[in-house]
Amino acid sequence: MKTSAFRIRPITAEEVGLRRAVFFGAIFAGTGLGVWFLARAFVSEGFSFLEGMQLVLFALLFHQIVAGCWLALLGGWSLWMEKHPPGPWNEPGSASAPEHSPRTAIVLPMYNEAPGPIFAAAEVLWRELQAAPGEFELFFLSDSNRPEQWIAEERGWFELCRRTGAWGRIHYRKRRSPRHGKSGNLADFCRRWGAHFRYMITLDADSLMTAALVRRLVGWMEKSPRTGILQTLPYQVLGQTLFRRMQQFSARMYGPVFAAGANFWHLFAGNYWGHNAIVRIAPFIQFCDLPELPGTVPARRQILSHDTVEAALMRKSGYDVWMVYGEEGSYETGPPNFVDHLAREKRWCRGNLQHFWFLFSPEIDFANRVHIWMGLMAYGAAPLWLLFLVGGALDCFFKHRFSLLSSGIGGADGLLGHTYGTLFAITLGLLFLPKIIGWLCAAPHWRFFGGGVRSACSVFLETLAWSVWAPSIMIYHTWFILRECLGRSMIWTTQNRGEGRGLRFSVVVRRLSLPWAVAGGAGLLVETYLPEQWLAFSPLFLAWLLTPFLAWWTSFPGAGAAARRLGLFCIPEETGAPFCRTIQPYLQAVREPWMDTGDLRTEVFRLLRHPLWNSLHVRLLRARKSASESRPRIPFAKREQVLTASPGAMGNGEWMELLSDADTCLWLHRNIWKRPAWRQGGDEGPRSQA
Amino acid sequence: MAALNPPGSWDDAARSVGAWLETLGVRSEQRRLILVLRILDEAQKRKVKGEPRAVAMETAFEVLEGWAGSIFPEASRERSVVQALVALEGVFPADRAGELILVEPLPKDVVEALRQFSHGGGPEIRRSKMTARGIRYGPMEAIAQETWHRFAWAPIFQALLIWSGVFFLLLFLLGGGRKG
Repeated sequence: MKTSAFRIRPITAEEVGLRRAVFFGAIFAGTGLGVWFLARAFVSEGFSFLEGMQLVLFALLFHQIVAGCWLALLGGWSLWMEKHPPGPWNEPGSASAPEHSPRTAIVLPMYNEAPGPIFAAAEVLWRELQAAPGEFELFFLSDSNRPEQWIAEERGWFELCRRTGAWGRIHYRKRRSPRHGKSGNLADFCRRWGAHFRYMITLDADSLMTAALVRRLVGWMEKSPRTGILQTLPYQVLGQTLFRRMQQFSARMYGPVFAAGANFWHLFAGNYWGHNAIVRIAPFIQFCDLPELPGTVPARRQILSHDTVEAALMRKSGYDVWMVYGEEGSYETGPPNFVDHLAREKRWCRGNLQHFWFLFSPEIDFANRVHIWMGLMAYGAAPLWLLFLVGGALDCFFKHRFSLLSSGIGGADGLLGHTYGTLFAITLGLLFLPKIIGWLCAAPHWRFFGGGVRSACSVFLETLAWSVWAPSIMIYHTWFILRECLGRSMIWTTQNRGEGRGLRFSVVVRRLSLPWAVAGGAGLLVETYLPEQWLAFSPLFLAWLLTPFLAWWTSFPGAGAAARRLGLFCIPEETGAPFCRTIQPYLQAVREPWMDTGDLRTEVFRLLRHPLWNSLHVRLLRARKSASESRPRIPFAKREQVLTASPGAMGNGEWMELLSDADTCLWLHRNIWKRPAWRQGGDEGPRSQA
Repeated sequence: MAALNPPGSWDDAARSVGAWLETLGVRSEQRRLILVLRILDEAQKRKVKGEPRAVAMETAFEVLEGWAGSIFPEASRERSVVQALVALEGVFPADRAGELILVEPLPKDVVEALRQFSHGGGPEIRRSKMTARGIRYGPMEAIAQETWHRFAWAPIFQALLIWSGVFFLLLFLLGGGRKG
């Protein structure tokens, strides 16, 4: 029998072909049916240019909805019917961890994130890993460019080593020049130390992964030498705001279904999300360094969203990329509110748009091309949807007919009106069916989601909330893409993970004023030209108007707590599900980290004044290479300025430069103690010189 | 009324040295007092011009450098302090580390443990070559490369936006007339 070159369990080429034929065939059939249905109605009353445009846009948009629905359907089928879905985790004997794990690096890139929870969770992970034999080393790879973060990270690392006694096995590395962001950070690790290890487990600053899962991942990689990357499915936890609670509920409820559906067709050609995954280092070093994108502006040739490309390169080199789903022990946190969600979308949008170039590369595997297409369409669908709406409205204006949205409201007659109504109903069905499938697949665990009725209510409310936000997301995605096309620069910032006390309404209005502006403009146009369609467009206007209010309300932890008391948006991790016990020590540690961090003033003067922290900082600064660099880089006048000015008088860049120079740090420490201008009892800094 | 301990006095220097020893982890008041007296005594013997606090602290740093230099004789004076303090805090619990500060001579096993202490930004560096391989981006790259050298995209999109605006404005004006 002919078998796939990339098989893990006996999976035949015929089976791979059959699965892909089923999935893509279903998408083509579903989309084709919808397009034919609409085209037939258009043709019956004469076919205009605008209708042709609508038909093309409809095909592009509808295939995405059909694909989502089939992912859920096939995922549901896989979860219910397939006892052993293909994957290295079902390799006979792979469930047990190897007796002696090969050298594995757990790498955690950091970029200005609060270090307290990171080190607290790392301690739990390290202690659990040490409970059984294995050769693990932990690397904190910092690219932080805020001095207070840098200092706190060093302190946290030192305390962690002191608490665990893991000197020489838990490492902290700070790059002087954070080139190429996170991918550059990991590449730097690979170049320096990659040769020591067989695997690396990549985590994000907000990632939590239990030791049990870490060991299982290593076991599966050992049993599957052709597997290059094993990507786990991280669930979201620790949500307090209503927004984050809704997000973590939906990820927990529908995530496994979609992941199983994706695994149904891509099998060994899965995607990589850049964290909560295990990577075989040797092929990663050999084949996965990121190429430059075409372009004339050097800054825009750097790939920002590296993970999808790395998965494609790993596949190109002949290694498999699998998605592990249905395994407990992989977690992350999400943005705390809708405003931060949009900020993250803005970053991801640019990253995904860059993948456009790989879509046409002849060297990319078919499945990776599909991943890239899906990623592109996640954002590209927004302007298409907007165009579809505008086209429908114009068509309506010119032909005095109702657009697709107006169906069901009344007024449309004949075949076209009937078709619009039917298609609208089918679209709604396709959108909501995955949620129903996710809910049904979670039936054995409903009690951990708050119960059958409450979890159904949660599904309904979550769907309602996203229905309100969806038109605004359409506007913002379109805006992000427009900005990108116009070549506007964008800074890749840290994701806000703190929940605080909710957003101020003035902030929300300032950040989310675009939907209101669009609602005003569109409302004026409809009132002027299509007054009879006002009712048909009213759901859109209402959603745009409600967006800031809903974003504001869901940003409050109080609203989240109230929902929790009502049994809404519950997840098994917080309702004591026995299968989630292993994560509890981690959650506890993150909630109550053993170190706190101060502001710039506190951290800088703690570093400069305290002999240990000053020595540690100097010790961790990499030795300069050339003799010319060993000359004092920071002029004495600048050093003197530190002793007389307040910390706030200098910017982050100046502080970073000062703190990057070992001699300056030692000189400042010495002189701080020698000058009477400095108080002895605390870290307050210089006395007022007045 | 004059301050009891004006800055610049030896009392101020003593307080400064005491505070510095405390941050070093010397928790025993008795030991701290002994060390302060030793350092001030040495500082006064030097008869160096300058503020007592600065002279006392300079002496304190030199005493620390001398002590650290006995553990790491191969390192420079300042670097030996850096190595000794980090190693001391790393090898011993905080209380014990404080007890060992400025103890001369240190027991041999302690010195050995401090010299053995290793930590840092990672294991020994073993360089790997990680170089991006070229990738063919296909026909779109060819089209883009040709067009980039002829015109920039941004003005095209800007023009598109402007003409779209003009189009809708005309539509508005025409439609407004018809409605009326």
